[in-house]
Amino acid sequence: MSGKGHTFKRGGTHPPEMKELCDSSSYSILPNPELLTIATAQHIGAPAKAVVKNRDELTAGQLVAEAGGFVSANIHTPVKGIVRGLDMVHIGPVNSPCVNVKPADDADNVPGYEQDAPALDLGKYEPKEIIDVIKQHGIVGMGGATFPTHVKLSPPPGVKMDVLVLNGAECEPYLTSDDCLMRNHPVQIIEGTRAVMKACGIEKAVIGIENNKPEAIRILKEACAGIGGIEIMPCVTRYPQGSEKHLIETTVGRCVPPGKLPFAVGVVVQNVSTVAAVYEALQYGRPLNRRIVSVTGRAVKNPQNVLAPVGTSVKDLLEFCGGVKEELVEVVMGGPMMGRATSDITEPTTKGTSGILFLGKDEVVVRDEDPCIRCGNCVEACPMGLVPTEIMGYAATERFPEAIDAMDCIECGTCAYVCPSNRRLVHWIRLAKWELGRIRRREQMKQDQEAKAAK
Amino acid sequence: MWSVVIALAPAALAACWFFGLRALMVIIGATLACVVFEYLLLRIRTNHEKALKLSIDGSAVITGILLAMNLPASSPWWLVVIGALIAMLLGKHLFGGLGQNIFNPALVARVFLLLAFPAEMTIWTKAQGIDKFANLDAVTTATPLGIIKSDGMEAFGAWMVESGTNLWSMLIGTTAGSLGETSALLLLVGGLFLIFKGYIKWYVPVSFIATVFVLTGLMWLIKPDSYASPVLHILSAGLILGAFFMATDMVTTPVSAKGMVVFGIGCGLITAVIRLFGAFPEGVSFAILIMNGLTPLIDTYTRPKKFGAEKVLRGEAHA
Repeated sequence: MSGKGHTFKRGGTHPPEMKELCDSSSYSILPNPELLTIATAQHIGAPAKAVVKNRDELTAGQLVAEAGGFVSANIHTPVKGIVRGLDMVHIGPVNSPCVNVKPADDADNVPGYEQDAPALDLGKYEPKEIIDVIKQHGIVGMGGATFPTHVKLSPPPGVKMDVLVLNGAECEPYLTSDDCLMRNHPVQIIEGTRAVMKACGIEKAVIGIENNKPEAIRILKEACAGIGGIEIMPCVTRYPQGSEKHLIETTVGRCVPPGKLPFAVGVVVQNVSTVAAVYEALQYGRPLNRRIVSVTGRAVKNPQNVLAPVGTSVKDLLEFCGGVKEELVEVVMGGPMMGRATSDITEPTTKGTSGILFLGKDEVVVRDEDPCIRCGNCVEACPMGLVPTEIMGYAATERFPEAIDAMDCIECGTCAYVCPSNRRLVHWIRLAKWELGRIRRREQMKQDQEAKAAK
Repeated sequence: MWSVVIALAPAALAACWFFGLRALMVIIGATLACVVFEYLLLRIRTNHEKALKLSIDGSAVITGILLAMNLPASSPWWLVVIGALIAMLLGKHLFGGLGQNIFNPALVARVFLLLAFPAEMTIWTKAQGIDKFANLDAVTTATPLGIIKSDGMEAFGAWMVESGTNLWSMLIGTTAGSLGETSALLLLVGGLFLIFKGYIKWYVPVSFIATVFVLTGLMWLIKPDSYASPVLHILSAGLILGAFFMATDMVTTPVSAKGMVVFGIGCGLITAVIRLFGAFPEGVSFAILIMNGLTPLIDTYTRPKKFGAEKVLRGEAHA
């Protein structure tokens, strides 16, 4: 915990920030790589269905895969090029179909965000139309969860939303991509916010930013001066400040009940990068097919923020940033707390890849698990009020139904971070979640079969 | 774990100063015996390398020192060895080793020895100073709480004058007792060191000692001629040792802050009741062991409130 500002009440921790490695005052635009691997299952929900064939010629921003259901998203090629095969690719644990696109020789690089972006003329849109534009342009949550934005903005009937919370906390150590966008392109964020407010009929918006980003706070405050209804709220630098539920508690003072979505307290949360993508779609008709990625860590030569097309491989980003300068121990997609290590440097980025960490040997500690000594550090640190050690105990002894509290876990990793015995608590909790999901599906199947037999 | 050893060191050294070479032998003997038994018992389950690594990870050393602190300086060598075996076998490894035991191993051993060998366990050598270290036939005497229990407050007052005991000498540690029951001050220093370093949390020691203070103080106010003052109760016997070093053993105590407070209050309550009304002069070890047994129950009922939940949910499914 450090500095003044608002924050959430329970648990949390403050790992070393490490943000100084990756400068957030500017970003570079990646020259087109040899090949883009565009996964079609890179968001939460049904995979998109490819609508192009091998050897099709594509124009920049052309639809390559269309949403495979309501909870799904369209996918567009970032650059002009030619389809070089429909294949499969691993995005972490997900084996996803993908469209390989070879950028044309004369293809332009992805466009940067405009410096003199104009204000949106919101008068010409109906709320429904804004949501439709968001849906058409394949916008998903860019904080990492990649939940389709048009679904998030369409509450179930009877739900009234009155506050829009913008997530600029960026509480993960190392990452500076949101900070970079906030410092360089405040207009896109403020205008995108206004568009989302209009789409949901919301009068009030709060942008929560951790106070370790004073420049972003200052610039956004200046940018929204004179625009009513948008408040910039500095938050204490404390992990996991950027968790959806904790950011709502901090900024609005409401607590989302267990198992419920922010709808339950009349709030909708969007990442700052996501609303900037909304602006880009409305103003320039650009689909979400590029994003700022923090390429950082001590093992990479020139850590920096890179505006890269979605589908760029880890290898291409590493080469652009000068390659490795010391022994590379681990590559992590996302932040160090919630990200996942990858062993495949051809893995492509997705719409949710806010950073890629190339960690050297001082940054990775590999130690065996010692027995749990019930010290209670994880209980004190859990921001969700769970007892992580107990869930781990049930998971490790395969008593999964008793590990039901795992379903409330946000997998922030605070428990594992504070554990003196180096227990892989999140690993066990995720295992419990996975097994509980299987048990639930099996029961559902049994019920369906019985219903069928009864007919 | 080694910081617990560091925290115990001043009080252990003071015990050697007050009780002489015998005390040092008891401490070294208990520690060595615990480490050896830990290794042998681990060896049943695992290979040599792993057993060696685990037996010197510090936990057996702590159990050994704590066991020694619970023994009188006059303990014969076989008492120490049996104590170490009981601590490691019954206290720890029958439950599955580190992290799995329900009861504090050192206290299991102490209570076993107290019940099995009451005579050897209650020969209290008078604390005399290091210069008398060669005197194996040291003068024996009674402990303050022992006299209050057996002879009453009046006799205790007379004994205090006769033996030159006062609250100051009890704080420094020149009274009789087990090795770790004497110097309240040095134990307090060690305990506070652990709290400031963040190795233990303050909830248990504070609630434990406060409860003893309040309950004994209440009885003292009602009948000052039959009950000792609360300050004497806090400074005497193993309360400081128990509250800071044994009731804070993470493995055998609750995991949540609320649970730790409940645990400490329970310990204080049982200690006070045994000291004031029970047959034994001292109740800290029984109190902690009883509360160790209640720890799973306390854990169940002091679950933290889930984020956003209106009330505490006890293992109830919701999603």
